[in-house]
Amino acid sequence: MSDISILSHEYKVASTLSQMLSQSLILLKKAHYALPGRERITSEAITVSQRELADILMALAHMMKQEPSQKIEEAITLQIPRVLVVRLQNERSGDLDYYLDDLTQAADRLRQGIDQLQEKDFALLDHVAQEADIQASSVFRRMMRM
Amino acid sequence: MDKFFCGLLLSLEHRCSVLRDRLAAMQTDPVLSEQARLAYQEVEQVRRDVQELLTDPDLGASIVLRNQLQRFQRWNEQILQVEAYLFPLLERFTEHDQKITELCRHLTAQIGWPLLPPLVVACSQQYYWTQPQYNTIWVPAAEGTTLLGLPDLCHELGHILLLHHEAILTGAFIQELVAYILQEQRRVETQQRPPDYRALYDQLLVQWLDEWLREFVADMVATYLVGPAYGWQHVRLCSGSKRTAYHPALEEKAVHPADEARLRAILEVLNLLAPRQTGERIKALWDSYLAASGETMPPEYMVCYPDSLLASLAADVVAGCQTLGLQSFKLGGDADQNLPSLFLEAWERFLADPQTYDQWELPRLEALWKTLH
Repeated sequence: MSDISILSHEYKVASTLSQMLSQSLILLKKAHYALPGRERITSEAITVSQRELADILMALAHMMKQEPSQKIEEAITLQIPRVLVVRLQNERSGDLDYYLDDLTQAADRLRQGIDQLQEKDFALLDHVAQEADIQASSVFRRMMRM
Repeated sequence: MDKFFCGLLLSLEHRCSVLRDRLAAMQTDPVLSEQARLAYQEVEQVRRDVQELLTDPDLGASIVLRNQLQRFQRWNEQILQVEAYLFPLLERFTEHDQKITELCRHLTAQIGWPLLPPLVVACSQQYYWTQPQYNTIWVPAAEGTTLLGLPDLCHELGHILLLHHEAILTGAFIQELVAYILQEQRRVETQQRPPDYRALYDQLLVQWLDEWLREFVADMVATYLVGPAYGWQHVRLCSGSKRTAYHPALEEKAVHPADEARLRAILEVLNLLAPRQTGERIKALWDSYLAASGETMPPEYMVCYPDSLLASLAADVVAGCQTLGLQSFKLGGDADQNLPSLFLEAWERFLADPQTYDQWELPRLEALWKTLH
């Protein structure tokens, strides 16, 4: 009945999301910006990263819209911490509709191909990855009492 | 930063190598093999990932540095977890741990547990808890010396089950929860609630989805498995510590939901599986405890934990347990042969006559430990 049981589950969700975002972003940036390490990446790995990131962005958009629909359930099963959604909602409360459009458009471009991605898409993805990173670290410190 | 970051990675790689070599040199008991394998795999995987990054031509490139740092932080946390939660267990597994692990194995065999039985360690400093991803449960040192607290083992099993079968156990509940919060927020728009409640409802949804839901599910799984024994144990646990029964209410935050709401969650499962009087007896004891402690329900408390949501979740969890093939307490059988039945009988004996309970319990415990060895 200690908090650890709940926090360890919460941390698992947050850290899995954070790892996936940072790993996928590194791969896409290597490919998009033609970094020297791009030769080590397979096209299959890039495709998987594009799909995973697009799914996350679409899930975030649906969760931020707060629609009690099947789509919400799908989003939840992708395991996005709700606190992250609320933090983004609060941060973008002034221009939420535009932000939701940005999320959806970035997801569409991710699905179309890496050459379709724009600077603003990477900025958006970096911001989401940073929020996921903050959440994972925060839960970890609570769990480990650091 | 490049040089410093490289140093951090080298240091983590070295730590992984040290831990891996220590694990490789361990003479582990066969009962620890799953956790030893998990620890080795995690440490070695992180070591390889770090090594790969160290040889990456893009290491420290400004465009990816932030993402690389995030990856490093997750790896570092992973290794800290292995050290904190697996090494003490692997290097200091005692006879007490062995005994209670064996008890848990018997329990999991009897309830149709669909996963590998967990390892149980009897040296917790924080009552019962689990690390579900490592399949380990930690319990207080003397927990094997009484039957009354053992239903809590099933609560931790519930957390482990949830990690593997979340969708099966929660069913359509999440949609229902979101719909409920939206409905409450609409009351703000129609001025049936103060304007600042909108943010409170957002916070309520965060607490439910990120934390409380898991605790309620674990409570409900435990109730499905050991029935009223878990309800009685909940009252015993609450009576023994000074946590207010109605905390957290609206505007308050806590990792655990309120004890009062947890009791109602337990009763909802009992209502589905047992005669109505079963839950009523537990509720009567709980009410007398609350009256004695002088606690009163804060305003708007029920908004946080409406009966309708708890009832829906109970139906989903019971259906999920049935889908997973778990055996409910109703089918337990003879207390000499079945641990959930033994826990229930222990509680009935304790409630009927606490003065002579010890005399009844001691020979049962001795017989139980004899059976397990």
